[in-house]
Amino acid sequence: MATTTLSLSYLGGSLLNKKKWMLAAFGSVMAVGLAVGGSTYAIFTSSAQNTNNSFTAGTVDIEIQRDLGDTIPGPMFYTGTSDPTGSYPYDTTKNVPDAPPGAESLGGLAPGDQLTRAMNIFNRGSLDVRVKKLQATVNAAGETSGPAYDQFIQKMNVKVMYPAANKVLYDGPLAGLLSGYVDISPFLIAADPSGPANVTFTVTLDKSADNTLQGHSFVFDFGFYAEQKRNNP
Amino acid sequence: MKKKIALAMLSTALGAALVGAGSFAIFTSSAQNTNNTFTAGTLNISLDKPDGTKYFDITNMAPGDSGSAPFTVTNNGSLELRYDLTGSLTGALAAGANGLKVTIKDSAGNVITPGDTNRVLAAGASETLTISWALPLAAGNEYQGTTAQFGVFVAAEQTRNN
Repeated sequence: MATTTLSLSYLGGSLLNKKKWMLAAFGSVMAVGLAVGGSTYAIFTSSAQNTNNSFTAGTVDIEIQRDLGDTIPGPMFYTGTSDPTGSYPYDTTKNVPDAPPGAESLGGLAPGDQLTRAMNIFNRGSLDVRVKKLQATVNAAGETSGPAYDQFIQKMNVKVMYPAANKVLYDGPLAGLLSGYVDISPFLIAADPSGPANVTFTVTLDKSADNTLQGHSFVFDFGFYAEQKRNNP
Repeated sequence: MKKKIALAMLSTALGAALVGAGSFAIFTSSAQNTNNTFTAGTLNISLDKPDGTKYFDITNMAPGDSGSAPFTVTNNGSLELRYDLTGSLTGALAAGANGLKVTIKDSAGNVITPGDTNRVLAAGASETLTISWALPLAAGNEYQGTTAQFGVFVAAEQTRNN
């Protein structure tokens, strides 16, 4: 190095001179060091990572099907004219002779008539669910207002049961289900591979129903509301 | 005549001096000290699970679910280091105000501020941190069936002279 040579050449000089040169040499080394550092400054580094840790949300999804031993989708209660697909699974006069007795189409209701139909509620989601609410909505396929309608929704009693849990989910006039979801005695349906919950609907047209209803036709849709069971008191 | 002789002797002496310059030598000696060694240190930070082996794979989450998983950061090098800790959370399940929340906590349970740049580990030391998650109860149906991914990243530097 140049600085070393310079120092050596002044070994024989005075102490003062020697110090001066050493100082100069030190200064030049510093300058060189700084220049190098400025252009290629580096430190040791290392890094590591772990990615793709995943989260997946579950699903809540219930599906309802009528159930009296048939797999054909359709309403629980129906008349010949309200089943335009022509399946008539319960109509012994129009279908196979060995159709389940008592499962025929309604024909015409008379005051005092009582009919029971069943429904399966399937849990199609991935989470256990609790069914908590029930509602009925009027379907425009039938009458949706008028004196006959007003009487019918009061005189038609609906009793919904979950026999497996010995629960009465709802028992009252149809009108009570028509203003949105109402709370019912909640029941659980576990996720697959659990089977469906079988609920029954028993409808009774009160004997006090009068001639106002004669010849009128009404259509209603029933709906259940379920929530996730977990983290949900 | 005497002067001439003297001159001749002087020139002879000069000649001898010239000859002496041709075969000049002194006694010398040298000593050496070798094998003085310099070894650069190493800086090596690692996670207890390498990339590709997941810390967790949480399925079938419902709003209100929460949990945690530990992970260990180790200084495998010979130099003290300090490291930056960052997490990346992506995916529809983590989107929006009510989406999945993920934090990293230290051994005392304190939440580590994202982007913490001053976690020091001595050579050979390690620390176990915790990834904590929670899906708020307020998460609505829009989150059903969605997914999210979480990655943890550590980047280290030497602490000395830095």
